[in-house]
Amino acid sequence: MTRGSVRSLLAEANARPPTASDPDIDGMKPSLVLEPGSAEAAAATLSFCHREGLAVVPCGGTTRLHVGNLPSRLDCYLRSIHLSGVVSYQPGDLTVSVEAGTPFRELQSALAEGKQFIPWDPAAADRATVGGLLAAGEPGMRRAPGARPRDLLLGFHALLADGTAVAAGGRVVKNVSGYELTKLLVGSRGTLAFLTRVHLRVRPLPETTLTVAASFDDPKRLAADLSSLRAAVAPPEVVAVLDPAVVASLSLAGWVLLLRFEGIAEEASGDWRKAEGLLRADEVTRLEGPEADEVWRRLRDFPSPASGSEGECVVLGQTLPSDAMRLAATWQSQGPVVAYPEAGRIYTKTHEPEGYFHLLETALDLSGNAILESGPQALKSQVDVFGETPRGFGLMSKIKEKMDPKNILSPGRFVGRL
Amino acid sequence: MLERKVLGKLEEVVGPQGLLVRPEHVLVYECDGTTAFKSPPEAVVLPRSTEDVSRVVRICADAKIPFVGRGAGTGLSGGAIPSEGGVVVAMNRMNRILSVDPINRTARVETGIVNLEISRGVAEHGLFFAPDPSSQSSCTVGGNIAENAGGPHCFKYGATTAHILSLTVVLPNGEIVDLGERRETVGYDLVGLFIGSEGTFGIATAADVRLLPLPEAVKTCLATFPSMVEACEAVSDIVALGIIPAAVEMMDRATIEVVEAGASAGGFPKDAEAVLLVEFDGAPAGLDRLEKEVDGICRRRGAVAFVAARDAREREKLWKGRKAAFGAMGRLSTDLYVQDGVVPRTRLPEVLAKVDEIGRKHGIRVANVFHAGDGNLHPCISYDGRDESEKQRVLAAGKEILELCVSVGGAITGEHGVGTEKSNYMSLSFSESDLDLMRSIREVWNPDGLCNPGKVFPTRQGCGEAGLPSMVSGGGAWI
Repeated sequence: MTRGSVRSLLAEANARPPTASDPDIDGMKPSLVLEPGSAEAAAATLSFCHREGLAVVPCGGTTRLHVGNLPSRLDCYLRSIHLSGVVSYQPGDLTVSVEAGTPFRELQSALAEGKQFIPWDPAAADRATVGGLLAAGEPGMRRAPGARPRDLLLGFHALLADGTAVAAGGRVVKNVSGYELTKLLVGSRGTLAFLTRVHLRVRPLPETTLTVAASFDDPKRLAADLSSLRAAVAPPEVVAVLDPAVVASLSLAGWVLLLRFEGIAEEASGDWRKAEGLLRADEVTRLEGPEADEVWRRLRDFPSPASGSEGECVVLGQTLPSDAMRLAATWQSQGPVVAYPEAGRIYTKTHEPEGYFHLLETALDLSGNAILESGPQALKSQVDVFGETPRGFGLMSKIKEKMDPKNILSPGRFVGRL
Repeated sequence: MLERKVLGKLEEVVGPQGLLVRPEHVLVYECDGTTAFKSPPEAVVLPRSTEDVSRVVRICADAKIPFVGRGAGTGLSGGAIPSEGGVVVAMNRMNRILSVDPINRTARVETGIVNLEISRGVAEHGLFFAPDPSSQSSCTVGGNIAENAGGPHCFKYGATTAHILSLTVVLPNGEIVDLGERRETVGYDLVGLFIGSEGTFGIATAADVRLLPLPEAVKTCLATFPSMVEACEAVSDIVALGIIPAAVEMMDRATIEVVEAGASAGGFPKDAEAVLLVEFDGAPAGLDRLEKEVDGICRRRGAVAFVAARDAREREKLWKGRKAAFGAMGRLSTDLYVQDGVVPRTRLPEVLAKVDEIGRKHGIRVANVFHAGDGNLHPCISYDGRDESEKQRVLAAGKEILELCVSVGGAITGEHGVGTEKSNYMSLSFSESDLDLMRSIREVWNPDGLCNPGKVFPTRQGCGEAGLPSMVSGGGAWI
């Protein structure tokens, strides 16, 4: 390429040096931030980076950029923020097509006009992009089967590492033509492709939402009640457990079991009445309106690394639902805990970097896992932040090698340092 | 012919009772539910364990013999047909529920188990396995995994992929790998990628499946309409209510006539142009209100009758009739071509009208029975496969229908898979780059291409032109 054509390519990509507002990755900043205004410009840019062997980290709103291993190389951020907007939305089809860089809140507002929504609750929803949420596979606290990114991504347009434009899946709610590459890209954290446009399934807004907080002095009693609930009522939309350190800031007390029921009015209130009959909590409060919104908002933002101090470790545990409360109770001795037992997810934070090893060990003892979502660089350099190597890692490595043979997409950042 | 030495090795693994080679024994394995595509295997092996499957696959891989895993053979895309000189690995003897964990709502099963047997086996815990293809009383969960099978209730509960947590897979080189966990995990979603790979990535031998609590109550309603268009409009209004029914199914007059004449008659009104089967599940109090609302919607859209099943027996009868529709088509002619295109649901009325036009243009009769909530069509074309000109007209009409589905933003298959039948139509939906990416992923799993070759991808000569699939003559019914 001539110098002139490189210059025009970089101009098309809105290339610029990073500024103070661009987040670093564990102290590393890229040389260039690329923010192409079209899928075509993004393709040309990526193709150039591929030829030059430049390491590219695809990103959207950069809200989850901190999650991952230390990059083995870092030259550019390739951001989707100028690929933004709803492309087509037909409420009657229960589908929406949207550019990958669309801020999640913007999409949600568009869907609200059709009395529909995407059942995700990401932190920083005004900045988090749809593509970024899909790539991170991190929709927030709502994880019921049928509501996760893997369930709702119907199809995508993306760029491969060499800039080749590809598509998979489609725009309809049911489709088995070709391999399920949508599943492969969800949660691949920018290591396989750069999403440019996606087709999603949407849901009708629930007729009723009920929030209930039940306080317990003893976490064991809470765990026992949780088991009875599981046997007696259909799974609520969200089940969260907050330890006393977390609830103190929410004008609640003790260990709190927070339940969110959604659906048609009779069903939500019927499930709630049944749950109420089973709970042996010290106090049960039904939260309404702004009070309920505030609790869910605060929970959504826990444990935001931005709210923590330097050197803080944020750790996510993964277990079977039946083990979640046991792990939460163990972890609580090291830091504040929020658990989503039905999804088998437990969040905690600790100021002791060495504490991560104990958290990981206790999770592994329960056949679970612990992910170091954020932590000091010195700690991250010693561990695979994704914890235990997953089953099928050999196949994962081969897929990465096949799709990104020059290893330019987020090199070193994924599971097993892929 | 397979070498005697290879047959000897296979017999060592599965024993003489587990190896079929005589033509009359392997004949039933020459096709799946799509009897228009046939190719008899050289041998059929019936393993009893994952290790057996691994050893069999290793023998095939060493001898460069193509092989394909097979469940009950109820597939509707020619996905389980062996390639010439190939071995069928029939999973039917691996049909146990290995364990049930009612607290975490999961079960570990061997993949040769029949779909419905899972729900029967876990019913005592108040749980069920949600994927419910029409063939659920005979199809296996391994086949469901291969095809990412759907069914009427996947409108609410999602297709097979939403209900499989982990897999044990024998890779095409014989290696045994476990993928996924019962808990949430990290890394690429290999379980999600494997499901729907149509037997081209390996053979799944065991799975942890997700179970759901049995709904407290179920309400199944039948609405009778004077036209398909009005029935489709009612579906739109029901969806706009803001609730997701458990299922929304539609049948046209031609289908109703055939079903009602058969052994599994559902009690559908024979003079109706269209009937809509709408099911809700959940808390009883809410269901009564929904019934009233849907009754009102249907009547406003011109329904001449609206009834709800009074008890489980009536409900089962309706579903038996609906699920027997493909089989009942066997009354009409020797052969049946069932299509599986999907369209955005709001385009259903115009697409159905055009499907009718296409049928008339080619002088064939199309019966419609489909998942209206999903926009997943199943145009059924009965024909006599011995009449070459009729067969060609059927295939030409089929191609036009799929082109129509894609042209309105739809897809060529919603739940039956691409298999052999639609492989040359993949180019309607995907570019060469898209297909190359899929091929490269297949190479990761199946580098020698011995595991279920000839499926999913267009043959190179058919590529781009989306040629008609080649079919054998005198097929029999595609049910």
